[in-house]
Amino acid sequence: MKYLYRIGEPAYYATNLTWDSSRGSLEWRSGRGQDVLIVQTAFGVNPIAEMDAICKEMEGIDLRFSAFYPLRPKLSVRFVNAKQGATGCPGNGEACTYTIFPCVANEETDECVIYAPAQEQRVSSPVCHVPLRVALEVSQDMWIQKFLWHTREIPSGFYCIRFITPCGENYQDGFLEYKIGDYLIPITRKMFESHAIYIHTDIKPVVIPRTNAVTLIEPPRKPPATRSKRGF
Amino acid sequence: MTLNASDLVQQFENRLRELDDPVSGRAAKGKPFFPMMVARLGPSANNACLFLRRELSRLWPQYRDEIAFVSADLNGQIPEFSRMASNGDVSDESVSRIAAKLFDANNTHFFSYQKLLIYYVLNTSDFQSADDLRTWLSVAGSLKVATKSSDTVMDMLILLLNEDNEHTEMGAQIRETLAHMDSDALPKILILSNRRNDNGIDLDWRTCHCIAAATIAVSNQENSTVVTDFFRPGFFTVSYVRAEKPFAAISQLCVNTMLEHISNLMPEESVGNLFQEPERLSQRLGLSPDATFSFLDEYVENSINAFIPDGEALNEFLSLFPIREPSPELYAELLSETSAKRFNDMTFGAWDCYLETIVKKARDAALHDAKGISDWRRQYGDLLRQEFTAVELEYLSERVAKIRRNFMRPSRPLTAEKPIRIDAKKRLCFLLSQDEHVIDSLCDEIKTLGEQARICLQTWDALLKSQKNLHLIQEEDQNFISYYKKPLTEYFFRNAENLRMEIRKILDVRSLKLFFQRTMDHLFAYENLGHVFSNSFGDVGAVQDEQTRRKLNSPDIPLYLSLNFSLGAPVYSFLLLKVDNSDHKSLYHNLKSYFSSETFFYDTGSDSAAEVLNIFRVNPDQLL
Repeated sequence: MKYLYRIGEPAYYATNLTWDSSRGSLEWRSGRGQDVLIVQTAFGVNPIAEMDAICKEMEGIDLRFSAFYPLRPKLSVRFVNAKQGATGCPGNGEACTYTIFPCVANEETDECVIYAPAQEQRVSSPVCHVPLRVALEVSQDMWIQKFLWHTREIPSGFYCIRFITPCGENYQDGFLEYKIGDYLIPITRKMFESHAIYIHTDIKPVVIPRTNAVTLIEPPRKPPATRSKRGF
Repeated sequence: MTLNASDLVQQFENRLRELDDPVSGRAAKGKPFFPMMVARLGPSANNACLFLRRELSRLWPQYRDEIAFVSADLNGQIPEFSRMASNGDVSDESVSRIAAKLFDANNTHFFSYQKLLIYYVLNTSDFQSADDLRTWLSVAGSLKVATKSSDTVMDMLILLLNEDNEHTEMGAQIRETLAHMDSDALPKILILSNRRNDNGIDLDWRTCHCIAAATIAVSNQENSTVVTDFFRPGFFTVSYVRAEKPFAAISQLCVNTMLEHISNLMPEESVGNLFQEPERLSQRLGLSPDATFSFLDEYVENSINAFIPDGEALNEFLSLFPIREPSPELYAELLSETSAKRFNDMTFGAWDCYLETIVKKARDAALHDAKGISDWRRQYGDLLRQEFTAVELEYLSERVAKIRRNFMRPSRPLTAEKPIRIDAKKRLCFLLSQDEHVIDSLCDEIKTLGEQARICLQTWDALLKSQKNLHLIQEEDQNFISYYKKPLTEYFFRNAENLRMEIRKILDVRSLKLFFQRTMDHLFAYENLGHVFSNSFGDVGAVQDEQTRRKLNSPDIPLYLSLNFSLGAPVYSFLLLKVDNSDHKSLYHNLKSYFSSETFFYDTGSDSAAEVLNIFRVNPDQLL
């Protein structure tokens, strides 16, 4: 199929793109029976200036029944036809930006015309920035010292960062950093995958997002105090 | 930015003529006898006055600031006068004050303060009607009055009468107006038409301006009879011819010879095998065996290294990274001695990410700071300029994608197996030099230099071709060819190696132009050429003298006013040249016997030119 990018027309619209974090899905408002194309980019990146190039790259690819199609690094596209769900579809993770375009596919000519969105408005926008919401906990690691008749907790010399939520598909190494003194150490995907990391320091690390693509949220509940086996 | 052979010839000619300036001691022996003022009547005479200032300054350099130049303009019907300073500034100093300064015997050096000579200069090109002539004559009268020295003033109007094809009718009307004026009530009027009596046109007024300057020079002299006659009311015109050293032909010969030798010194280059030795090419492109660029390594050393501490502090810093399997033994050993690869694996990839992050921050800071990125590009450009010729740069710029592939090294450097304390800084250098955005900007520099080189090569080709557009050197001038060509050839033979090295450094049109300027500088400074260039045209040979004599003594010297009737004998005849009695080979010595005893010789101090100026009285009815 051939994709053509055209100036927007009032008859074709798709806007008010929103993210439902509880379901991890996208929702929008569009004309009745309106097909749409959703472009997923790195957080904060606007694909509109590149749409002609994106159309060329999509040429020959039949996107109609696929999920998000990775067109190039940090850019995926998904076609949703009116019958598939009209006003919503599953998203492709957080820490990214989604932009919606109304489009009209013509089976006979094997052409799909994609229309530029109307000027972005404050209330109703075709663009949706979805930050990754990360919950984590930083605590001093303790170990139990046994005496003859009692035990006591003493600092193990480590601080622990416990990752409560997963990092999802779009997290990139270094999106989060922890600060100790003047040093900023990046937090990687592998650290998320290990659920917790231990830092050899007496100073409490402060976790800082390096980009707007990540938002720190409060952990859903207070976890129990860390009882580590790692102290020595 | 173009360059053609005629530009070079013009540059060469300007330099040749500079040798004739007052700095060379070629000022006139004669000096302005009386205080004098040159008045520009209206903006049309601006060019004429600029020329007169330049020429009179050349002739009488000591009087550069003592000759007053005044501009007269009309504000509606009211004349306004201002002083035209030598630096182009205009001041509102009153005319009487300007005149008073001319008579300041303490600060001026005129021989006599009995008279004030005023030369009005008027060009008719912008005349709307012949009545404008009356208007400007009235302005001239006002100026004379404004000097408050009317009784001492002797004045002359130099009327530059435009009679080219576009101004024929206006010219005729002005002539008619003049013919019906009472010449006794007017200053002397010297009519210089740009249409000569042989129908030739002095379209850019160059010759008329020379005549005006020569007239002013000879009219302000110690012979009071001549001066009085000169300023006697009436209409006058002149016949004029100038014989000068053939500056243009000499310049053309020299430039042709220069281009011929330089084109022989151009390297014959084969660029096809540049990519056949990729390692050698990478090295010439500035890439070290570690896949880094030295100027970026310096940047890392000076700006980024601070993010990685040295010595014991490095161990403390590394211990802040989360370790996958921490153990007392691990922290007891020096982490800085751990291999970079192992440490990266132990720290969940955080070590690599840390290095990449600080390099990325430094890169972004440089790329977003116009000064930063331009500094990198400038340094890389300097490196390329030292290493490649214009032909090579053009070739490379057309193959940037290939060079880009050549730059990119996907593997980690071998030092990754070495301890962190050794690897860390090398890794930073590698990451910065291998950054896609940085490489893109370096490739952009190659493209830019390649484009400049392409234009430079085109300009060079066009320059060689443009030689064909030069006029052939006239037959009578050909006798000096060997006189100039021999030392020129010797110069290029002796300096071939230096020139060849300089030619390799020509990478853009600017450096091409500078190269020619430098080469000309060297030519004029070269001991065997400098004096050849500064020789008078008589020195070139006796043949040249003979040609000059015939030209100056011709019965057909053009008159700068087309008339239907003959004017008879001239009132005065002047021969302006360097009067040198001591040298029996001088042009003056060779010429004086051919001119009548009534000819006045005026010493201009310049042996590069000789001018004949014949002054004729014109009756009013002859103008019709």
